[in-house]
Amino acid sequence: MPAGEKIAESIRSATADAAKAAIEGFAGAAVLAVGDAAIACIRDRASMGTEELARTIAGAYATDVIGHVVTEADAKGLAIGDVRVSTQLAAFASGQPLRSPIGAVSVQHAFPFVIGGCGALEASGKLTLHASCEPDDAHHLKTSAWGKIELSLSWSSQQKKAAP
Amino acid sequence: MTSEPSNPPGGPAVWPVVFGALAIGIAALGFLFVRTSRRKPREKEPQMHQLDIVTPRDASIAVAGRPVTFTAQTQPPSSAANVRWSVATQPGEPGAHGIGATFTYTFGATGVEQVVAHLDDDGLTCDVVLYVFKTPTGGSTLADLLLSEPPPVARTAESLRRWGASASAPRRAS
Repeated sequence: MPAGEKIAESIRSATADAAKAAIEGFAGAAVLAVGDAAIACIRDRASMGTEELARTIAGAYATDVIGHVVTEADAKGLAIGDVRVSTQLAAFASGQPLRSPIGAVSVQHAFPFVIGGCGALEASGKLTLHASCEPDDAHHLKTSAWGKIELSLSWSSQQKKAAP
Repeated sequence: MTSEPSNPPGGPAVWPVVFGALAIGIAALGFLFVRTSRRKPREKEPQMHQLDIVTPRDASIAVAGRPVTFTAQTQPPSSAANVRWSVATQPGEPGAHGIGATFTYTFGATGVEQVVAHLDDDGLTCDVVLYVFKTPTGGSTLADLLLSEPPPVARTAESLRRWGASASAPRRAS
């Protein structure tokens, strides 16, 4: 039974692993360019993002679906906040051999961050985390996640105005 | 001494004009009277009678074990008391029929279910289809639906004869 806290924990774990993998890969490739402090900043953002995704998906599973129209949900997917739920409600209720009337439940959030600057050079970026849950043959929720880091380095010849 | 004949007040030239105007006025009144009297009396427009199932919406999700209340609206409103309900997909089940503006039924299993409302005097019929899910705890969250039992009877909405959630017709002559 996918109790709310179990789902949240499962998503937390999968998303944290995905974020860690993304950061490790990124750090290996970019540490020379952005430095250890920048990687630490992204790690903090990832930790916060992982928790946010876990809470969001667990909240979606706890949402009451009475009143939703099956034909609309099956055609477009259920939207619970920014969580997307694929459904096959009509097919399941009609007797088609499906595992569940509920398919993949997924969410994607982007977390912008600023690493800092050095003179006219500014470094910022965006961490995108995606998490998804889907029932497997044993009616367990199989979770998956991925993370993506985009870095932006900018340099301007325009002098910054001094703070008043 | 000659005296000029005195004219009546207004002068003799005024009288033909006055008589002419009077004649035209009388003719116009006569024309209007004839036209009005020939016009057919306006026929009464037929009064439309209507039956709508207002809740739940067609193709809604319902959960087995939880009562679902169906509500009809009629035109005229006094007909609502005569609405005859039936769960078309559970014909032999106890409680599958009712009369009145509302009807409550509790489905027992996962499946596609049809509830029909009739207004016999006006020959009106409406229906709604519900998708019922039997969940392990009777809950209706996404997590509950995830573990729904499969239906004991395979039936699609397309296999049902549909009337729609709204019907109207002119009142039958009594």
